[in-house]
Formats: sequence, C-alpha cells, structure tokens
Amino acid sequence: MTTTATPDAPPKVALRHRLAERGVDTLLLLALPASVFMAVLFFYPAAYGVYLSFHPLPGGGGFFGNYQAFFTQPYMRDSILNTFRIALPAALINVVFAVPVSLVMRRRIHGQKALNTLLVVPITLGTVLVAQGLLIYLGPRGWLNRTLTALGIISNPIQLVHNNLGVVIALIVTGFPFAFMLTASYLSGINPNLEAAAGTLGASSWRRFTNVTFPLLAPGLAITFCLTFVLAFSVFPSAQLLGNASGGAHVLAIAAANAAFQDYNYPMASTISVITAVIELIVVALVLGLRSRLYSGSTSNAGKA
Amino acid sequence: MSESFSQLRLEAVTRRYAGGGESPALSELTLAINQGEFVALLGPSGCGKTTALNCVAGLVPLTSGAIYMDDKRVDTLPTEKRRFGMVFQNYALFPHLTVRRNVGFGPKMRKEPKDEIERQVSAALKLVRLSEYADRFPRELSGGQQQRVAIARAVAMEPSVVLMDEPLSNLDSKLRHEMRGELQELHRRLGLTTLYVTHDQEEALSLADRMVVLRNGRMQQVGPPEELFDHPVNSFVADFLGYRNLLPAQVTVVGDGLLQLTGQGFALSSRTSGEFAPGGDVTVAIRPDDIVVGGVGDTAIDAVIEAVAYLGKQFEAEVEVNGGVRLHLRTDERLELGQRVTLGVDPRRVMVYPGSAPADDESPELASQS
Repeated sequence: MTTTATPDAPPKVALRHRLAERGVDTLLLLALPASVFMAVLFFYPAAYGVYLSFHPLPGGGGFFGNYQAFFTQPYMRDSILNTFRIALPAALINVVFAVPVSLVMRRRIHGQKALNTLLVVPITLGTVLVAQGLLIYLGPRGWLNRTLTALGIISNPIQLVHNNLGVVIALIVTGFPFAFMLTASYLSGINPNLEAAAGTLGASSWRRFTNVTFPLLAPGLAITFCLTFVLAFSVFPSAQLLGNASGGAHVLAIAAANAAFQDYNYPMASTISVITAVIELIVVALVLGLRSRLYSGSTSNAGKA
Repeated sequence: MSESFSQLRLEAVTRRYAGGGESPALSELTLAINQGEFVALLGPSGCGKTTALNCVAGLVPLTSGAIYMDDKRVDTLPTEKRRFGMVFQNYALFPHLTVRRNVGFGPKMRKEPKDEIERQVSAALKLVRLSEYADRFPRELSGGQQQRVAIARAVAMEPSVVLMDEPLSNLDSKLRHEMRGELQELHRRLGLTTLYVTHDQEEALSLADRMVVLRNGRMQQVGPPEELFDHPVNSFVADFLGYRNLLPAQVTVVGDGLLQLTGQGFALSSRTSGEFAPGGDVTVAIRPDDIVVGGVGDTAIDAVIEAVAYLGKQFEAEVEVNGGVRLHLRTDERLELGQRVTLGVDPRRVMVYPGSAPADDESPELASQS
C-alpha cells in the first residue's frame, strides 16, 4: 500500500496528501461497513450457491451433474424460454411506454403532480398486493370480465390470469414506475434548447424526436431496459400467484423454489439460480455492448455549460 | 438564396406567462424590420427581449398580436415552417452529431439532395473558417468554435431572418470582441436580416442598425444607436446606455432653450428641449465621461474624490459633492484620493427627465417610471 517516499522528495508532505496522490482517501473507510455487509450477505452466499451447484446430491452425477440434468429435462429447459416469454415483453413494454409518458410529463400540464403520484404509487404496493389485486380484478368472475359481459362485448370471460399474460400485466404494473422514473430523469438531462434548435432548423416534432431526443435518450433507455428486464426475469411472487404454475409453464424462480422446497434438492436449486444469473448477465452484457456503440456523452449541451 | 421579403412586422406582440402576475413578459411590441437590417433588442434580464425573440421563432406562442412577413402571417405557423435561423445563448449544438451533420441538419430536414447538403455545409463552414473541423464533435471544440458552428448551422439553412439570443455572452471578453467583428463581417457579406438580443449596450451599439430598448416587457425607445446614445427618451434608457449619474434636481429658470437646475449641492444648466416649468422635480442624467474636471463655462461643482480606479488609459472616480450627492466620472487627468476638484458639464450633455429619481443611485429602477 504505502511505500516510503523517495529520499529526495520534500520531507514535509503529510501522509494524507501522499496517499491522496495515489488515490487513497481515508474517507474510503466509510465504505467498509457496506463492503463487509455485501461480503457476508451477498458474495459469500452467492459463492456458496455456485459451489453447491457443482456438488449434486448423491446419485445426481458428477461435477456438472446438475447442469446436465437441467439441460436434459424438458421441464427445466422450457422454464428458460418461458421466463423470456414473460420478462422480454414486460421489459420492452415498460420501456416503450415510459418514453411517451415521460415526454408528456416533461411539459407543464394540469394535474401533473397528481398524475406523477398515480404513476409511481404501484412501487409502494408490493408485488404480492398487486398480484392479489389483479387476481380479483382480472379473474374470470372479476369486475373487468363482469363489466365486459354485462356490456355485451364478450360472451365468455377472457382468461387474463393464471397464465403468462397475467404475470406480464403484474410486471408492467410494478415495473412501469421504475422505467418511467428512470426515463423521466434521463429526459430531464436533455437540454430542451436542442429540440427548439431542431425546430428552428425545420424539424417537425416527430423528426425532432427521432433525430435529437431519441438518440440522446437511447443510452439511458438501454440502462432502463436492463434494470426492468432483470427485475422481470427473476419474477417470483407474481408468477406464483398469477401464473400457470401447475400447468407446466413456469419461470426459473419457481423451478428453483420447487427444487429447494418440494424436492429438498438445494444443489439443484442453486444450479437453477446460477443459470438465471448467467442468463441475466448475458442479456445485460449484450444490451450494454449495443449501448457502447451509441453516443453516450453529455446531453445537456455540446461542450461546457 | 433565401426567400425574399421586404419587411418583418411585429404588431402589438404580447406574451403573458401563466402565473406570471398581471404584467405580461412582453407587452404590445410593435416593430418593423426591413430586409437586411440588423436590429438589436436591448435590456436588462427579465425585460422581455428573449421572450420577444422566442415569439418570433415560434418557440413560445403569442398571447395576442401578430407577426407578418410582408402580407403573410407567420405567428400562426409552427416553428419548423418559419425558416428563421436561430443562434442560442448556449449554442444548443447537437452533441451526438459531428460539426458537418450539425450544420447539415437544416438542409437535411428540408430533404435537400445529398450533394446540395454537402455544398451548403462546406459553404457555411468556410464562412466561419471551420472547414477543417467538419468531422469533429462539438465537445471537441472551444467555446468560440462552438459558437461559430452554431452560426454556420443557422446560416446554412439559408434563413429569411436570423435570430440571435445573446450569442456572445458565454465567451470571454477577448473572444467576444473578436466574434463581434466576425458577426459584423458576416452580416455585411450575407446581408441577412438579423434580430439580435443582448444585455450588453456596447454590443448593441457596435452591431445594430437600429436598437430597441425594452423594460418590463415594454418598448422604451427605438432608433439608430447614435440617437439612443445621445438622446435617451427617459431616465431608464439613459441609465441603461451608460448615463451612470442620475440625480434628483429642481428646475429654477426656464428660458432661451436653456434650463437652469439645482440639486443637493450643485447647480447645472441643460440644453434639453421639452416642457419644464420652474420648480418642477426632474431627474438629471449625465455620462461619466461628459463630466469635465476644471469646470465648463459657468458650471462649477465643488467635490472631493472618494474613490479612484485606474483603467489603463483613463481614471474612473467617484466623487462626493458638498450636498452629499455622489457622481461618477471618467477623465484622462490623474486624480488623487481626497483631492478637491471643480467639475463641469457641457449643457448639451445634460439630459433632463420629468420626475425625481430614487435616492439610491445604483438602482436602475426609477420611481418616475412606475
């Protein structure tokens, strides 16, 4: 860490300054409790999970036994696809809808605060409450189906819950506020004069968006997508309550929970968790890789303010 | 070339902001700008000059009034249909596009053919001497270069009118001087009709064919720079154009085109024309460089030097007159702190306005105006 100063260096330089020259700051010590916390409660369990996944239960095969089992059982393999079928649309819809909504909310409109609150409130509800609410509201005998039947729009209740659609709807309700808040904050970082300038140069409002706002917003949207995707990909309570768990179409988190708590196969559960994490990392890496090819500098102005 | 027209007319253009109180940001501005003319809107911050520019650009809708290009009404057109080039205070260059594509943005939006865009871009870049920077990004340029790109971008679309919103205020003083010269040169070469917003009176004086002084959203005076400089219509315009000494006084004698005035510890005469009656309260406005050390004619004001600053060529001094009034003056003469001097002013350079100025001579707000 600290090496002694060379003999010809000025002798009276305080240790603190010499450390600061090397980028070491005593304030860093403040990060110590958080680092210990992360090490004990995250890195150790995660590492232990990885270790477990390579040590199948007796009769479960060798080092890669669990992974072999995972990829040879259609039930397991299909859970990857099914998780994508839920997480991808949910994340995409969240991001795609967050853009126009934050564009509208950027303008000063009547009742903006009330609307803002309305959009953000679902975060505070918690996934179980949202799932339970949707179950009642969207169920075969819920208000929606009864209203539509009464109005003569449908004759048989539409199946909105106990399938992937239900899970996607729940993920939109809980994930949209995140996507919206992130997008709105990225958008507020874009100098509105840029759009005004594009306007004076002859760009219609659509072309202002496609030529100026969207390219500047895209790196932020990539991050927003990553976050909402990861949230959706590891979905558990919504999938348990609203999904079709018994029918075979289940997500990775449910497969892991079943392995752990029904089959008491902790190593298999760990394996599924590791696979989930690896897939998430691959998707995030792909998106960030694409993002690095976009412009990602200052969006407030060309150079200094 | 750009669309030809003979006059851009603002008719009683008014803009009121929601929640902006009862006084509008811009109140009934009526102004006609001829083709090729350089008009400067001048005033302190909050006077409505930027609002006026944004109204013309279409970035802000009018509350009432109208804007015409000859007989064509333009204030009802969206910004993108007006074809007015605009240069923003913070340049507003697109950070994700190269200089070439920034400058080519206007022609591209008009769906010009590729080689035509290329021609316009290189002509505009040549004009601002940035041809070799075409492939740089805005963040790789200095402030002055960014400003020139912003000008090239506004000019490349061959606009009928160029709008400039304090384009030089983000530059340091040396660069500002250089750019002022370049703007003058550009205007001379291209003959572009220009509406220029600034709070810097020197900038307005040196660039504009005509100046418009605004205050609290209302036009105070319009005319060629010399006219405003020599004959401000009221004490606000006088104050804004460098008449730093605004003193309350009373008229004592009226006659023969000469006005005799007295104030706290001083007596002056003025050649101001206008209706003044003996005993009336007035405000006297005098430029610091019009005060002559040693006295002029029969004007002799005794004063003591309270503060001196050497400006390189001249001295700037603050003096206290016997009655307690403070005056600012500029002179070539060497002045010492505490020195007693006799001061005078040419009666032709003493402006007189009805009503009395507030005691605080630093404040640009005048009681007579409210």
